[in-house]
Amino acid sequence: MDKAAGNKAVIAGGAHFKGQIKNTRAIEINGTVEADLKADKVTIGADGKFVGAINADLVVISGHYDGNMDAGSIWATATAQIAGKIQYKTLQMDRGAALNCRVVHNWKPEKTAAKKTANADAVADDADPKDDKIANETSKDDQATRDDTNENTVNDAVEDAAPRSLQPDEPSKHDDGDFKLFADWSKQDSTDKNEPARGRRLGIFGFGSRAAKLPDPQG
Amino acid sequence: MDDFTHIINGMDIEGVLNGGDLPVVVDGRFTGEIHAEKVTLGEHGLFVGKLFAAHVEISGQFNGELVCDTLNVGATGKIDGSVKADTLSIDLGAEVMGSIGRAT
Repeated sequence: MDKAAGNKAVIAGGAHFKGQIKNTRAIEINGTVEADLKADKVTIGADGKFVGAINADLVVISGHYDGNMDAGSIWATATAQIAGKIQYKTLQMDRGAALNCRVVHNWKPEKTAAKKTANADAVADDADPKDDKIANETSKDDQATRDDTNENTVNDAVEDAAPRSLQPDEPSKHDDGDFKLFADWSKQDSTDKNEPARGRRLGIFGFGSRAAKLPDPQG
Repeated sequence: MDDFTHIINGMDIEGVLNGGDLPVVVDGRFTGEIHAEKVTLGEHGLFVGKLFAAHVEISGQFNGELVCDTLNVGATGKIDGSVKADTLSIDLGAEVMGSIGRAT
């Protein structure tokens, strides 16, 4: 049998493994694996199926994945099917990939502090049942949206932030750095819970658009 | 055969592996159970647990239970445990400690 020394570990097609995998640099999975995995590079082949947590630098997914993935770089190819939750620094999703998961971007540390503050506000706000209902309405429209956590934060903050700081007639602000803009908004406290139907105002992705006119504070 | 399950040197795996139709090569550390058609334990491989296969080649360290049809222990092979094989071959230099019997 020809064995290339120091090569990547392989779980062949048809193989089924359940357990723990440690000390792996590179692994290619063409069979079924139920395990928690920490590695440098993980490739899930087109016939591969992985259930469990993955903590890796690079993950290439062409098959099924279900679990919590925390990776630096994720590439979901056209045959990928992902469920669960993926956290990434960079993500590439080819046309045809099926993402049925929560997608979370690992912000840089200085933004993480701001995001954590905003998330704390969002969590406190979401305890209000009325907010939960509105949040559900918006999220129904946004199942395809990448940044769910970002969106909940933004929705809470936008009510008050929008009338104060954003003029509807400044389309250039929407073009670049939408994320940075909303990150700034999310730093502000949101206290007013009486704004109705934020989904309509913000468009189907929750980020608004040039065409979406935000209402005046008075009306 | 290019496609086989390869547990490379340095890896540490624990659990139950069902090899399917394709061969399994263990060059790392495997603890648990393997059910496969053909298993090769490489020179740097360490296996602890139970091994059920049709064809087995052992060139590394094996601790545990082995049930197979055909067994070939290489010169660098070390077995500590019970072996049940129908057809058996042990090369000069191998160390086998434990019991050897037939599977059927």
